[in-house]
Amino acid sequence: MFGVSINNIIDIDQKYYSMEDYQGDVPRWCPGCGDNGILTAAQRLCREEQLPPEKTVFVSGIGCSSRFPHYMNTYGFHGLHGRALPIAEGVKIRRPDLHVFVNMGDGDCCSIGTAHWIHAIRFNMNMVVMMHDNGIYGLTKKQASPTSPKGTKSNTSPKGSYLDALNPTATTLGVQNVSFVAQAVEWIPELLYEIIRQAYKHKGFSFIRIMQRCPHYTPAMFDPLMSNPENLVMVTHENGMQMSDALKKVYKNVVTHDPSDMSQANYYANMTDKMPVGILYKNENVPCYEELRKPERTVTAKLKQEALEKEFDKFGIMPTE
Amino acid sequence: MKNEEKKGRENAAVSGSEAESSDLLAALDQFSQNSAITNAADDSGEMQEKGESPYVLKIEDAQTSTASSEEIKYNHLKFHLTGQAEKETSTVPSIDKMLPALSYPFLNSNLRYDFPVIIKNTNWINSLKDFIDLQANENSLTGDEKGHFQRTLLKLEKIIKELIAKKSIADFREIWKNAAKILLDSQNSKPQNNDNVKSVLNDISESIDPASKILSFASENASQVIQASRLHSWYKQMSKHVSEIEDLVLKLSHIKEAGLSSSSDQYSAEALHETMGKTGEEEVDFDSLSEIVGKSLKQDILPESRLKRIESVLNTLNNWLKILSSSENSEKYLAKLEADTVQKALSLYKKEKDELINLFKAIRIARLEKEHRYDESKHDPFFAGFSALYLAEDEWACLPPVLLFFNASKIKGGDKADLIDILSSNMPVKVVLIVDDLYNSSTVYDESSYAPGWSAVLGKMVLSLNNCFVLQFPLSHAVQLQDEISNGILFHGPTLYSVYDGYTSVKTGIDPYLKSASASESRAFPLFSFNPANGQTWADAFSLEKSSQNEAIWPSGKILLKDGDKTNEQLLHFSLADFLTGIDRYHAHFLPVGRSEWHDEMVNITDYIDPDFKNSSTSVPYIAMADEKGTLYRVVVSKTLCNLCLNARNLWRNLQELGGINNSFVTKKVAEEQKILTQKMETELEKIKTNHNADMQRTIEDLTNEIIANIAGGLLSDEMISLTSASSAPAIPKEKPSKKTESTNSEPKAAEEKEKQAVAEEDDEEEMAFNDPYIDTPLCTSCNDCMNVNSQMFGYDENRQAFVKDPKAGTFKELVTAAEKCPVKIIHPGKPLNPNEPGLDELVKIAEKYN
Ligand SMILES: Cc1ncc(C[n+]2csc(CCOP(=O)(O)OP(=O)(O)O)c2C)c(N)n1
Ligand code: SF4
Ligand code: SF4
Ligand SMILES: [Mg+2]
Repeated sequence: MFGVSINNIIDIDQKYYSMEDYQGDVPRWCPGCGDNGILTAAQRLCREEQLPPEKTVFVSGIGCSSRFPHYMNTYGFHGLHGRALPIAEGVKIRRPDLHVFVNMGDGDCCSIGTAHWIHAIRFNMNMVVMMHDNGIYGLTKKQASPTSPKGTKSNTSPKGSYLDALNPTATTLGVQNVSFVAQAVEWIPELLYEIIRQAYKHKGFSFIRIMQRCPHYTPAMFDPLMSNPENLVMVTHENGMQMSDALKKVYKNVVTHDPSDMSQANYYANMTDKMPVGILYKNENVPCYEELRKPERTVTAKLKQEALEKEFDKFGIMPTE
Repeated sequence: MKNEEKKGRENAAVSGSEAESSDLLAALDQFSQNSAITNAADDSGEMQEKGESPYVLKIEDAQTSTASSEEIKYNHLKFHLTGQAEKETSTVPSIDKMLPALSYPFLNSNLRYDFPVIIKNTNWINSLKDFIDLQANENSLTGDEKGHFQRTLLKLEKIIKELIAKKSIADFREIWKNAAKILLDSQNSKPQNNDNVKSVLNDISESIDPASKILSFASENASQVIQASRLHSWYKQMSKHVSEIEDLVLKLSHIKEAGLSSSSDQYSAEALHETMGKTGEEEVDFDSLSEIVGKSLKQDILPESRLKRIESVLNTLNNWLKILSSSENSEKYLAKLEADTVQKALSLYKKEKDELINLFKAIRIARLEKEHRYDESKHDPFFAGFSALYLAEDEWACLPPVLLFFNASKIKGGDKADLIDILSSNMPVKVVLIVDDLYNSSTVYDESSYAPGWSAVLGKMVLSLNNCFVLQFPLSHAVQLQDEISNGILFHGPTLYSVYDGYTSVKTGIDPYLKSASASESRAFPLFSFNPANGQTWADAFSLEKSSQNEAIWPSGKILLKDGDKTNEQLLHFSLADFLTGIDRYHAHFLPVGRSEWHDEMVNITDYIDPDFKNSSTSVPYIAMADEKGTLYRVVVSKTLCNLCLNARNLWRNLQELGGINNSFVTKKVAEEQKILTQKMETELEKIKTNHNADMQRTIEDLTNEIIANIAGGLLSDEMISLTSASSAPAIPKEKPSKKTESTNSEPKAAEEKEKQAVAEEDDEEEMAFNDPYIDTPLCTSCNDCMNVNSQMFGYDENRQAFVKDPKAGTFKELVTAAEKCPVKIIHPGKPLNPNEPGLDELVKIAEKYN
């Protein structure tokens, strides 16, 4: 109306954020650690989307990968081992206006934090979840994790682990209300960024399993995948991951898969001979818990004060004559 | 609390504490969760509570009224009918502290309007915001620097707006420079970052046309806008002739010079001998030659009358060339063609017409003279009778239009009649009528009737003249209407620009830009154009296209309304009454009512005056308004204003019909046609149905006959059944469809082979081409390995991916080590730079693997 669009407002205080604006402490990961690439991709996303640092929270548990929030110059919460998700849920339900990101290790997510993981999928709260899967407990110096391939020799399995590895993508797909499942490898930066970007765009719980090299404890774990591009299946779609022509020349194993197709998603998630990379499943129509349980009454400063005073009154001393 | 909900809450809570039933404790619970996050998050949480977004209006329970509901209703009705109210409730702000609810969001001073505007830069008119956006996107900066710069420009825009707000017009380049200086001074903390920004800002200021001006929203700038449009169109039109005029001036000057220099000395025998040199000495008789040439030339080439004619033509043409030599000179020339009375406009027009005729007469004479074809006996009488009738159409278009300015509230009675005369003439006089006080310009102004003033309806009246271009618009829309404004200038006949300036002379109420725009939104001053050059039918010439929501009677907009804990979207209409709230003298016609006194007899004014709406005799019309804090009130409107609204509604409906919107004739005709069509279709349908039934009947009969025949033939065996059913059922596939992976992998095998080859060839080329070290940067995983080897030699780019920053900053050995360490093997060490580095043989061998 009035010949002007109401959205046409100068935001004088708006600042342009460059990569440096998102860089926190200097990372203390081992040289060559795959976590670095994930950090770069996350910072790049923040810059491309110009996420205000004060409106962005990175939440983590405990582990090498969980040091992530220290390296982001945004808000962050370095939590308890396995408890990144409940913390992130708390942040989101109270402050749905914040952009919430979660970083967990494979031990963090699939071992001690499994219960939270399963329920977080079902809650489907709008956040991006990056599971750094190096197939080992890194921080505590090499113990087998649920995702360690069978036969992994470690401090807790000197003769090699006995069980088949847990499959995080297939597990996630099996939980009610699942809305976004993707798999990435940290050593192809273009696709890592693309997948994190799509996860950010998706409204709901966006779970990404990221294969992450730990050159310190499991240096050879991903060698077969890295040395032979044929071992990766690039799962692309117009509604899913897209890749550049240059990359298609290197990774020729490209398939098209509509991420709304659950049975095909299961097929790819359960592939054993090859490793799929891309967006396996996406469903925009699953409701988010924070919206279902949106508080009807906003907590005003006045209300807070009343509540505090009521609480303090319990300890108050009545004046006597 | 339901069990399930409770479980959910426990899971979501950080502390996991049992949820209490008391609301206050629940609030405390949530508060403690909140403080566990961070301080700043809490800060913005406060922000949220303050107003969520500036566009949310709220309803508040003012103190409850002491009056009974019947008393309140009676009071409102009485106000509506008589304009008299019982004592107002004290908590409700007075009407001058409020504005229409739909205007409320537009209060924001950071909103980017089309004003200020820039005139006479690359285009004749541009809004400052479009200029800024263009600069933000088209500059030499890249990457982050560009991102920073775009934000910087927005700050600059704000500074410019503040600078220009104090004046109504200024030199744009000056303002730009001043603003840039203020901006750079304020950012002086980091001078090293400012260098590039400074130079780009400087480049922009250099690219600004020195003649360009920046205008804030002010009444006097309406004339500036029309002047700029005239200058632009006229200059463009004239420039088509400039090169011919220059050429003619040159040729005629030559002829004149040649003629003048042919004095007798020049043609003496000696002089001629001199010019010929030695060659002609023997053959030529210079004395005779001198006699012939000297005589004939002087008289034949430049007799007195011709010299005079040429000089006069040259004089005329040179004068025009001077005028056209720069847009500044043209502007000066055009400035003389402005009048404030009809008489003056007429005399200017006549003078101008003569000058134009003179110009084209001069051009025609010059064309003849250039080729020495001017024959006095033939051409003199022709040019003596040269008049306007001899001009071609595009020559006529060069006539600079005379501008005639009027202020609607100051125009005198006699001028009004003359104005109609001039608008019904054929003269290209462009009348600019600045309308300030829409509803008070009538001389027969009467308190009780409040008829719309003369100026509000002049535009519509002039439509009936049929050969006059009409553009009625609020000044706020000047940029959006730039083409229409230019068309008015280009139109060969008279033009009326009726411009509403937002009543800037009265400095109360809302921003004049908004007031101006709301005049056309509210249909008080509808935006329309009538261009007879487009054709003679209404459909061709008349247009409401640029009028907002022109299909609707009143435009509508949505607001967010917060009522207690709930926020809802609400649709509101913008009526004439909303517009009139901005004019002081109508304030007595409005009675604001707080929430506690709202009742069910209140009807929205747009419904109230709708002839199809059923009001009871006790209904009271109201509009929605908001105070400065965003609290919503209902405002009861007097009967008198309702009549005015109805008036404006009818006027607008009438314009809609002219514009082909809900045209009553068309509607009638369509209804008739539809009736005929439906009847036709029904009979068709009936026919089809009967035919179909007959067909069915026949088929059924045929089939029964067949089956009976089959039974009779004893052919109803098992075999027969299976045969018939198999032919209709879909075929069962023999194989399962192959997996998608397999198909995409197997099919294009050949193509893939080819591609592989191509890639291999490309790789070869690359290998040969590079001796310098390089990194496949897009593949870098930012792992820091190379940086740890030598952070001078390697660096990170904007995306934090590595590249070879300085190959000389380290040894070849370091390059090779980094290549070995790089987990994704993307460092290519190339050939060593220093042939004397120890152990090179070994290193080169290793490097080969990575090159
Ligand atoms: C409740 C609790 N149990 C155990 C630990 C010890 N601990 C710290 S990190 C860690 C495992 C880390 O492995 P992962 O989550 O895969 O992270 P990574 O270091 O591999 O990135 C363990 C068991 C702890 N800190 N807290
Ligand atoms: S131990 Fe492994 S995962 Fe942890 S920082 Fe080192 S390389 Fe990275
Ligand atoms: S070693 Fe390789 S991957 Fe690591 S930062 Fe350097 S170039 Fe990038
Ligand atoms: Mg791990």
